[in-house]
Amino acid sequence: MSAQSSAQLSPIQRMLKGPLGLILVFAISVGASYLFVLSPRSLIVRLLLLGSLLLIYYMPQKGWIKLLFGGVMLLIVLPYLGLFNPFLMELGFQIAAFATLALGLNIVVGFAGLLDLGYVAFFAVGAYLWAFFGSQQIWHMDEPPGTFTIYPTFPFPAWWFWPFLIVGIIAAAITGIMLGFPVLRLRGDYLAIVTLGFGEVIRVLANNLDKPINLTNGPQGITPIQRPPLPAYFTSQEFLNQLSDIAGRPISLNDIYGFFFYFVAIVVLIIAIFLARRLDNSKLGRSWTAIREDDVAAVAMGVPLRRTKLTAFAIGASFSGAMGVIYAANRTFVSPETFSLTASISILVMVILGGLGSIPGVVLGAAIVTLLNIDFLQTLSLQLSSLRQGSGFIPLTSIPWSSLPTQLDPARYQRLFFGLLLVVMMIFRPEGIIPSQRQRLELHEEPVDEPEGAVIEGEIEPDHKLEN
Amino acid sequence: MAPLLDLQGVTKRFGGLIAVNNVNLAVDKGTITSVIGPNGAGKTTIFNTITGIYKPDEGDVHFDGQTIAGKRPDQITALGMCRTFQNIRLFHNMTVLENVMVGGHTQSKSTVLGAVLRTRSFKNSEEETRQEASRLLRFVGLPAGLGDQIAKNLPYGQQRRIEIARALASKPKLILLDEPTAGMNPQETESAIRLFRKLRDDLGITVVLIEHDMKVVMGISEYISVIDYGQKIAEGTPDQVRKNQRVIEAYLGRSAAAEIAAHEGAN
Repeated sequence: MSAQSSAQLSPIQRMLKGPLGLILVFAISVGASYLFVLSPRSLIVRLLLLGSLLLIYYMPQKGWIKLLFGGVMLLIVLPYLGLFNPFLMELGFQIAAFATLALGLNIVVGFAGLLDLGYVAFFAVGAYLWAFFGSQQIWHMDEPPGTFTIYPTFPFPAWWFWPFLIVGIIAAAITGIMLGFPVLRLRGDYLAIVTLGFGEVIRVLANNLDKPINLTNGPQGITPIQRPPLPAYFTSQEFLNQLSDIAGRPISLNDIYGFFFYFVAIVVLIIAIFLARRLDNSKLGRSWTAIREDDVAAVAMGVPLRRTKLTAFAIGASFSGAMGVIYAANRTFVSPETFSLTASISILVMVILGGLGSIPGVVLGAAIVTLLNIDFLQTLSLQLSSLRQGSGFIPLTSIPWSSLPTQLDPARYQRLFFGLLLVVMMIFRPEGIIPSQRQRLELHEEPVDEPEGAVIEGEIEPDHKLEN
Repeated sequence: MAPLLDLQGVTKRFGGLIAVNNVNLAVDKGTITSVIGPNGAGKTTIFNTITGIYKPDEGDVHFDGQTIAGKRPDQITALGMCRTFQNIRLFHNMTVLENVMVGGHTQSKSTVLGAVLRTRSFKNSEEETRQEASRLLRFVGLPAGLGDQIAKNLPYGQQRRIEIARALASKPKLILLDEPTAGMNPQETESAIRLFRKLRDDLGITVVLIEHDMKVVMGISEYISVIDYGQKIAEGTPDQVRKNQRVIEAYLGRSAAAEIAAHEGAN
């Protein structure tokens, strides 16, 4: 598939062909980065940066060139720019975290066709696992929430974060299998309802397991949760001073953790992409697609239905188990409200928006939804409220900004934007922004010339002639 | 020699309906056997019971020397029995080649870990499955270069052939074909019959088919079992079955059969 003829290139790709295109992409990336240094708080520049990453993805150049460009952007340029505005690292962390979750859900929904509306439950398992063992909760199991003091030491030293990353993966995978067993015989709507219930069960458990034994500290959530230790050099005052000089603003230990979690999330995301790609393109991937297409035919062809479905649940869950552990350490706080049904739906929206079954699509979907969620609308609201405090008028009218009701804040309409986005997508591009090959063929049918039925019989002997 | 497939008193009920009633059926190795009967007689239910999609309520199914009643469909396929479906059940949105490769599932030795690490044995086994799949596509008479097409875009006759190729990929000892020539024109039927013969003659696979087209049934089968209302009402060679009074009654109705008999008697 790498050998694309120029006829198959999209208009963007044709524009970016050859050395000239390479220079163009390079110039745009450098330009966006430079603009970021000039105005580190601008939303438009942030979008421009994301756009240049997208351009790198769309470049028709060889794989290793794209990888080099993308790698330099993600691992060197963005962290450097993060010195000027720490929010960039937070944004990068959240996009990478949710992209990993969306990739996991994509295995279940996109590859195997099992609609899972409670996916965030596995994220909760990972998060609560490290929240319990990485905090002082073990010492407070017989105390009701909100009554205890915080000690200076922890039952598990902070480096246990790393082994617990593995434990989180295993625990989530086991939870995935536990969910998988009762729903093996269900399909479609029924499966969706049961998984939805399962997601709620986990959230309600987290909410209520503060008595009789206080495991989760109930709705108040668990805090503080330890972050993994960093090498002494990165936390030394000398290093912080060096960075502060470059950035022109004081860099704190908290900022260093921002960079750290950004890198951890990017590495986990890259591993997740790698795994998803290789699994999709294997015997297991074919079995997943086969049971999605027709499970009766699949099982008649020798695909073990139970095992194949359970593997999808387990592998999908393990992605979010790992991210859960990282997320708990990043926030140093977990509470049940993070793991609501809305979170599950959000992740599903990322998958559908980007393109069901499409790995690059799902990552892009996660980026767009996360941007909408934590950046775009919030920034608009902030700007609106600063206008409201000024004495200007709304253009073309005589109404002062200050009389604009706060009910019109864009951030309040997050769900509305989501809904609109989905409706528009389903009408104009139901296969997603970057559709998988299969989805494109499924939903945008082009009349295929029927190959002439030249019947060539028995030209070649299969090599498994049975000897009688 | 014990038959390759042996149904002993198989009964399958759906609630109060007895779809298959105490059917005995023996298929010898290397034969082409047809199961015929009027619509709704229970032929496909017999196939589903043999292949493990349904579990028989009573009776036993032996295949290749062991009992398979109660085994899962994928286990039965792994033992060397595969099938096609009455209404084509290809994986519509997969390519033709991928369809056949799924059929090779039980033959491929590749593992999840191998897939992640892209080990040499994984690559070899994938390549082998791919080669075998394209060989089978040519064997069933599909033109070259069809492998990358999406299965649902192909004409009906070719889809039937893909289904057979997919079943062959599991390297079966016995293949069950459920109305494989339904909806085909006479030329296509003609070439399909040649293909069924080739399965047996070239690959040594035992063939069992459900068929309505009497030209196909009489032309190809060495042995025929007739099912009506879930029961076996006759069996034997094509000639024996053709002359069997109960078969004529089942197909034409009692009065028509009597008329024919009277007419023949008058001659």
